[in-house]
This record gives sequence, structure tokens and C-alpha cells, in this order.
Amino acid sequence: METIDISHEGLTALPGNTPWAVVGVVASGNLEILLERASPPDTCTVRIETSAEGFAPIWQAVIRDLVARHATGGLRIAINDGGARPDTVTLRLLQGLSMMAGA
Amino acid sequence: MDLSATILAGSYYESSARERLAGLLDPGSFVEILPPTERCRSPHLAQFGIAGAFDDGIVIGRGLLDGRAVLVAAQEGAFLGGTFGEVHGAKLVGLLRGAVSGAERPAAILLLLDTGGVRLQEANAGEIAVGDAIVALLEARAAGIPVIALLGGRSVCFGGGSLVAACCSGRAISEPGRLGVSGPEVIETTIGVEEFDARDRPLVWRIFGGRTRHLLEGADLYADDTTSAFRTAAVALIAEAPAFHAPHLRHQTVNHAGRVRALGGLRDATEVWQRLSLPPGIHDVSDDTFRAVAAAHHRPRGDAAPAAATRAQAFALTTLADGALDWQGDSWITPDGVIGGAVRTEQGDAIAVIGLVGGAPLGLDACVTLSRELAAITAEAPGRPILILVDTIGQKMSRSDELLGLSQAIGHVAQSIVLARQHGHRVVTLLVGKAAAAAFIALVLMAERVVALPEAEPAVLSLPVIARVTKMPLAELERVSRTTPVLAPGLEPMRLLGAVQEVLPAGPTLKRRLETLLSAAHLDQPIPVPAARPYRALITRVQSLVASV
Repeated sequence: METIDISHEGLTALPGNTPWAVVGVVASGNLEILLERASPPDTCTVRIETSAEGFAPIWQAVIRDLVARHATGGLRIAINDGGARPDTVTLRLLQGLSMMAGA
Repeated sequence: MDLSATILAGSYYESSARERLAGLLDPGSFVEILPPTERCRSPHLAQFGIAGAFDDGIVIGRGLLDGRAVLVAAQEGAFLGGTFGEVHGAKLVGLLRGAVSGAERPAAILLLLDTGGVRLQEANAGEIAVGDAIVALLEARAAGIPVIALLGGRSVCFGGGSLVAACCSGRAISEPGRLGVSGPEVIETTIGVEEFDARDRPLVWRIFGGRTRHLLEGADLYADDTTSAFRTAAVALIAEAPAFHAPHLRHQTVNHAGRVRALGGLRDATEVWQRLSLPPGIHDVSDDTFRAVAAAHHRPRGDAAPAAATRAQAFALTTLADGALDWQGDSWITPDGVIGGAVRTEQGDAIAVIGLVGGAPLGLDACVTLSRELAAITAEAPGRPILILVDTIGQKMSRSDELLGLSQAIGHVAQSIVLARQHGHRVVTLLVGKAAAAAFIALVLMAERVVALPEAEPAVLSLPVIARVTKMPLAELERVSRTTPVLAPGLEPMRLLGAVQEVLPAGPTLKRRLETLLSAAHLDQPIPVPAARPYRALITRVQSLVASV
């Protein structure tokens, strides 16, 4: 198991007011993402716990890309990863953001 | 796009646990207990390099079904096969206990089972949780709350999960659903490919599949593979839920015994359909045609009374040679290892003795005898204490037994024991030898107290089998076993977890202790557990949350 913590500041706040959302399931090649409004409005923190070790640089890149393209301020994101590929991770993150931004 | 309409029309099999609940309950009515934000994860998985889930693979809570308040639990079959781990199990047990202890009783409890059984990485803890869940669900049924099992997910419904299903008031299953005690891979691994070729998928569905299980009355209703069909089935099953009492259980066990007698030894569903004069293509017709054929087949049939049990020569347990039990004259043993009889205490009070010994497997015939004898004890000797002697290698791993509904049969045994408890019989199990897997749940965990001889060998599965099934190195499992009792087979881990409460050698001390336990006016529950674990605290927490939401 490997734990990776990532934090970005100076971000645009996520719209909407859904307090939390969960997407995905921990399984081989899949992951579970819990999103909560629990960070300062300009900050997004991400904690990844993964069974696939040695991929920290890729996680850094995926999250950097996410916060650059989407409003993620105020989010605390927790990920339980069963070895998902980066495209699956991005897809699930976007799914989570849209659930949080909804009613 | 109307999301709820999409979920309702979508495949139940393909949906996640959360999607199934969203579609099953009245829109927006679901309130989750211990949601993912509480991060109730398994403490045992990280040491195996497995990522845990924030809900440990089970979603529990409260909601409305057709405007009536229900409690729900939905297993996530995609997470570690929906298996019963310690936290997962505690959430279910807490929900079931809370149904009875809360101020407002729910109209029903819905169990969306989707499970391969006990989670082998935490096998002992999961096994105990399954036992506790069965006792708690039968308490809820006894209190008049229907408990309904819905079986249509990816991993449904094997191992301990199949016993939970068998003990529910009613069951609905869809074509892709499967129900059995030992899954095809387990039988193939343990017995051999000539007994069961697990790669033969049509065979898997002919033995375990939804249509076979419904035709043989392992599941009461047959539902299309949609969430709305399961919703309709749940409402119907609640309306016709039978009470949990002796007459109904006796009817079920006699019915099943008749089927075992009529069909015993058949090894494939096609042979069964031929014997029952059903059309051979029953697995290929549409859902509606199948339902019509099944309904015609399920018209009441005359069932002869079960054959009298084989009364054999008086049976003396060599392991108890030091006079731990004083058998009266009419003790007996059947060819498949079921024993029965009575012993007398120093004070001259009679104790009923029943059990499965000599390492015999728990198969269909043994289950029928055990259920019938337990029913006879509760009917003919109200309140008489019951001592259960156990030495069994576990459930019988056989294609034929699975075909004819072994999970139902073992479920009947478990229900018979709990019913005896509810009728005021003291029930103590004496573990004299082995006790594995489903037999451990039914014959050991259903008792109020468990006493073991020092040479007893309880187990869920052996470490080599766990290694094969989980594809983990045996050395790794052995390493972890040295640090925690939740995994390794054996008496000491089960004692540390509280599943076995006392260990005594055969002899006068054991005899006196058994007599004390069996003659006690009441037994304090729960007793202290040597290994401090979060399990019971979590059950209590869920129970109080059920009462407060």
C-alpha cells in the first residue's frame, strides 16, 4: 500500500452545495472517490491510498491537470485505488465533480 | 434525462449497490447510516496490500418502500466479492438488532445480498458476523418484522450469504442470480473437476441459477433483471411474509425432505426437469413463459411424511469416554453421522442430545434429520435443554446436494436451533472435533454457548485453501496469522474472538460444567471477549443510529 497526499491552493471555488459524493467501487482496475466540501474555498486536497505502488508522479500529473481545468476549490478528495488507469481516474473525478456541482 | 427512470429500467445485475437502493426505494427517501464520510473501513486489508472501501462494501440505512418505513442493507458485489468482513458484518448485525431494539419498528428489512460469502482475509471475524446476523434476523422475524432477500447481483449468493438468504422470510431471484453454499470453484478445488467443472458456465447456471432455484423453491419469486421488478417483488414478499414459528418451519423442512427423497442423487437440472415432467428447454424460454411454467409447477403437492430416523445401536462417543455424558438407552446414529438421544444430569433431569459426529459432512440428508429431530424436541419436550455435539468436516461439497438446495437445508437447521432458543430451550454446543465453514455457522454459532474440547479444530477454511481462493502466498497468510486471530483456523483464534467461550478436557469437570450451563435459568449475553475488538462497539453504534435516524 502507498499513501500519496497532494494539495493545491489559489483555486476557483467549486459551485453547488452538495456536501459529499462518492463514485466508483474499489475493484481491480477501478477506484472509489469520496469528495467532500471540507477544505478552504481556494484549496483542494487529495489523499490517495493505492495498492499499486510507484505511481506517485502519475497521480501528481492527473491531479495537476484536474485542478488546472476545473473549479475544485474547497474540496477534500479521498481515493481508494485498486490500480485504476489514469483515464479511468480522470473519468471518475469528473463524474464526482459533476455530482458535487449539482443540486 | 430522468435518472431515476433510467435506474429503474436498467439491469439490476449491472447496477452498483447504491444505484440499486436509489431505484428500489421511494425517490429521495434513503438515509444512509454510517455513510462513506464516516470512513468505516476494514482494519485488516492494508496488511495484504488491498485498498479498503469507505463503506467496507455494504450500504445500510433507512428509507421508504411504497410509503412504508423499511431498513435496508445492500452489499457491493464488485468490492471483494461483496464478502462479509468484520466491519461489513458489524454494520449488518447492528442494523438487524436495531430493527428490534428501536422505538419505531420498520415495516420490513430488505437485504440486497450480493456476496461470495465470508471474506477470507478476515475469515474468522466474517464467519462470526454471519452467525450473529442470522440470529439477529431471526429475532427480527420473531418480532413480526419480515426480512426479505433480493438476489440478482454479480456475486450472489454463496457461502454464509446463502444461509442468511435461507433464513429470510422470503427471497426473490432473477435469471442471472445464483444461490448455493459451496461455489463451483470451491467444489472443483476441493473435490475435483469431475464433480464440478467450474468453467462450464451453463452447468453453473443449471445448478445454482435463478430459474433452477425458483423451480425448486429456493427462491419464492422470480424477478426480471430490473430494479423495478425487484421493487415489485419486495412489496409482494413483504405482504405474504410468513411468521417465524414452529409450524411454518416444520412445513418447510418436511417439504424439502420430500423433495430430497424424490430427487436425491440427481446431478443436473435437466434430470430434475425430466423427473418433474417439466419442458426440457426451461432455461431458454422467456422470463414470462418461465414464470407461467413455474407457477403451474408450484401448485400444492402432497408430500408424504418423512421416513423415521434410522435408530442405530446405542452410540458412545469415544472422545467422551471418561463419563462426561451418561447416555440413556435409546441413543442412535444414522449412517450419515447424525446422532440423537438423551442424557441425564446428576439431579436426574433429561438433556436432549443431537449432533453430527465422526467427521461426517453436513449434507442434505443429515440436515433433514437434524431439523426433524430439533422440531421433535421442541414439540415433545418443551424447555428441555439441548446439547449439540459437533465433529464435522463442513458442508458436503457435492453437485447433487447443491442442486437440490443445500443452503435451504442448512438454513432450516440454523432456524430450528434459533427457534428452540426462542422457545426457552438452553442450547449449548460441545465442539468435540472439527467444524468448518457453513457447518460451523449452523451447528456452532447458533448455540447460546460453545464449549470445546482442547483437541477441537474449528475453521472457516484451511490456510492452503484460503491461499488458493484469494491467490495470496501461503507464507504471507501464515505471517499475518501470527499477529491476528481474525484469519487463522484453529481453536485459539476462535476462543480469542469469542466464538468459543470455554475449553475443557473430557471428564467429570466438563460434565459438571455442561450440566450447569444447560440447567441455568438464563445465560448472560454477551460474555466478555478475550481479544478486544471494535466489532461489538460498532454493532452498538449502528444499533443506536438505527433508533435515531
